[in-house]
Amino acid sequence: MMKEEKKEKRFKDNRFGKTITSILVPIGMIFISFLVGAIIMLIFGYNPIKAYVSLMRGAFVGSFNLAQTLLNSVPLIFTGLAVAFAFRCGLFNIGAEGQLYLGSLASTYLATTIVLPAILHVPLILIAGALAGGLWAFLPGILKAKTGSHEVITTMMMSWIGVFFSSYVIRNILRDKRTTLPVSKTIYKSAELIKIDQIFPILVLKETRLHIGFFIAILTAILIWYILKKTTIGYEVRAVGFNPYASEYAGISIGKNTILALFISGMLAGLAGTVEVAGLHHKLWDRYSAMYGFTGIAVALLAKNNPIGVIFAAILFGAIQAGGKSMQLDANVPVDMTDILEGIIIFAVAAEEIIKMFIRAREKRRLVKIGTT
Amino acid sequence: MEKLDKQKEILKLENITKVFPGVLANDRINLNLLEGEIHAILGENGAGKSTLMNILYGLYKADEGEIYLDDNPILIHSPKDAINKGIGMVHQHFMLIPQLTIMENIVLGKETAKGGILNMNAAEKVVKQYSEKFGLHVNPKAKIMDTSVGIQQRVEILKALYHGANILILDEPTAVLTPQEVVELFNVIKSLTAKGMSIFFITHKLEEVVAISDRVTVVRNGRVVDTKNTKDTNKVELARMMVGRDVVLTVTKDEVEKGDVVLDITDLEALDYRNLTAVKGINIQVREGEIVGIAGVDGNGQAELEEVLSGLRKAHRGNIYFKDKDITRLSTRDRLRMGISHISQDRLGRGLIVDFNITENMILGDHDQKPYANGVILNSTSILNETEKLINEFDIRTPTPFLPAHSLSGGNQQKLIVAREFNREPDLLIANQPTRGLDVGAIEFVHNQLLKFRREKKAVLLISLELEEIMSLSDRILVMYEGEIIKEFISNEATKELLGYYMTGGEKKKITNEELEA
Repeated sequence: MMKEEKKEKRFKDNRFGKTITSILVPIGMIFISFLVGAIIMLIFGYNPIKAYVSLMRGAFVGSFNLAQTLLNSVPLIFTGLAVAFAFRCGLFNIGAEGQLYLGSLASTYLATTIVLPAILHVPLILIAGALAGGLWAFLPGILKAKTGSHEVITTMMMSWIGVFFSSYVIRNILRDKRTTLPVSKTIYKSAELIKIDQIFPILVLKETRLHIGFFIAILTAILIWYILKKTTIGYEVRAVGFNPYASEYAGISIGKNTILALFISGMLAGLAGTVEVAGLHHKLWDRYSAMYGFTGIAVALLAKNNPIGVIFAAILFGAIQAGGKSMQLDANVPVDMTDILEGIIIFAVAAEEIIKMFIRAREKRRLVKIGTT
Repeated sequence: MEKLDKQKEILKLENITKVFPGVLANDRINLNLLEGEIHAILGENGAGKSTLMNILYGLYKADEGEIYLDDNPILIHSPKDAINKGIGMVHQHFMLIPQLTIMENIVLGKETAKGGILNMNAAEKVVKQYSEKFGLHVNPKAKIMDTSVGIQQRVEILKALYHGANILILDEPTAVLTPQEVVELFNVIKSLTAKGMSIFFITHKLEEVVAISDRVTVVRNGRVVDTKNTKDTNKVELARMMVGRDVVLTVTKDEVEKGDVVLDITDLEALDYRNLTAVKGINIQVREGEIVGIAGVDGNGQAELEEVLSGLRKAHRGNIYFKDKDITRLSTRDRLRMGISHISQDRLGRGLIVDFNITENMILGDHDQKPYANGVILNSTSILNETEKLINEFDIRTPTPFLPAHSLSGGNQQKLIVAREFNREPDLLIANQPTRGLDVGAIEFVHNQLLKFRREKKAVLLISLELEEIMSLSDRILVMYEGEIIKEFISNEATKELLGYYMTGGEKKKITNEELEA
């Protein structure tokens, strides 16, 4: 036994090493994406260095810019978490957009029709928004569990139904009757998510629009991380995601976890919609969402479905969006370059996943072939 | 290293070293192959013998070391490379296309064709030629899916020969064969070497080494322990070399008084995934303090029986009673909680979640129970403590309890599963191939655990393809053939020949292999 122990000490517990690698790889991908972006800019005669410097300036320098970046990231953290959580259970929730709108609907309704002290009103609309989003994903969940119908199709269908349904409700039920614009009434002050500089004056974010929704997003990410890693709920969700057969064999219900995972996923998307309305716009505009639900997929992939990684990936996307205008002003690069950059990042992430899937499939086949060593 | 004089050394592996993350799989291995010899590579699972052979076949690349073919150093980059150099391999899991015929499978990759047009008459002729030359009789026109496993293995060998092998690597070839088929295989191997083939024979079974090999190299923990002429050694010495200590080779069971019936299966019928009847009216009873063994060739309904018993497959007809309670409709989870544990034959598919680490796999099934969880919150300290305890108790070789299960060797994966299921202290254990892939020392351990269970008046239903195991552990042996129990033995009445006869159908046997070849 002694000799074996000595030999094994040669190869240390490489959990730390694995974490470092899993951070370095996404950073590497981002770096490569920016490199490709630079090449494209050069081809069209722009100066990439100037462009990137103004991009970073526009995203991070100055309280207004920094606040904008963080504000952009808030809905992306929620939708990123939504997609990531479902992915952990092996499910593709691509209907976050619709779930987001349902969340906005429910929360706006409660924020414009009843008055409560803020300490009750805010939690109420958050819960309502989350539940509405959750219920919107619940139906695809049940369909998958009972009939096997693929959630890619059902969540996508529900998404468009949700978008148009909320459009209808905004224009006809929630609409501010004083205008013909497709927007709801302004929500009551008690339902608002207050701005950060009203709780504690941070010099750097003074007098910006950044609201506590940002902290709610961070806390939610930590909560989801905790659920996945430290609870039996997360354990079962991940087990089903990795190997439904072995999970079944161990008495874990695939159906129950499918429904639960999609429900929680929908709740997170619903929160995205709630927090945007209650924190930023204070009213519900028809089609206000800049495809947050779909960008959430890119965020989740870049973060490798890790809840803490989602925070950083969301901030990255938020930064690119925020810095775009500066890039246009200072370096004359059309603001569409931000879309191109986002696209390249998404390609890079997708390429890595495809390559990894390929390697994993070959490894698995090899392991099965070789069987016992 | 001893060498038989007058034989030429045709292959030499020098200082082969291979490292995987956290594991030194091959540690400066030196070994050679003489022309015309049958050279057994004997070792525990995780010892590194399959890794070594995979390096030789080009599936892995060695980190250090040289390979010499006829005294010339060579590099092998891929199986194609290996085949071109005359090295052929027959894997444990065959790589044949079921819908194609034997001759189509054999010529695949080096088809008899002219200008892109296949000449299947030439293929048939060529296959017949090789068949005659090496004494491997097959019917070239038969489809693989209609042939027995023994014939399929012959096809794999013919394939390697057709592609020009003069060195053959056989990886655990007897794992899927009945006793009669093993005898036939050994005759084939002897005739191959008589015709000039040289063979590496990977195995962990001592009887095979003694029966067939000229020389044997024992590998342990990635190193060569020794290479000996087989006639100069014996099973006891080989076992000691493999494991590093003296090992009891067959356990003897003591008399245990049987108690009440724990498991009562009545008229059970079940369908397989094609909706054909796989289990056709089975009646089995297992009592406290009893081990009932089910012998049978793989594919006669054992997998479906296991699935119905674990709750994964609905019984088509019939009932299952556990301690007098009808559990036929009960969920898997309920059966687990009632005190039924399973070791599935599908280690990677059902027994483990390979992306989870060892601790996470160790609690699979009990993850929501104390002490692993308080309510919904997992208790990482108790999980880690319990896992480390079991890693020690069951000798699971790993650098860390957080190693993902896919990095464990097959044998250690099996030990993890066995540890988990035994630790639950069930009243009924359903074990399907519980020692598959385990080395002599681990097999001894598991067998002793099963006997301890039995002494404690627990019940075991043992399904296994290893006749020695079934015979030494079971109180009663049932033979399963085509979904039915066609014969029952009290353990001391059963012999290998009798079991082999019933395993292939006994009086019910339909077409023989010879008839298929006609």
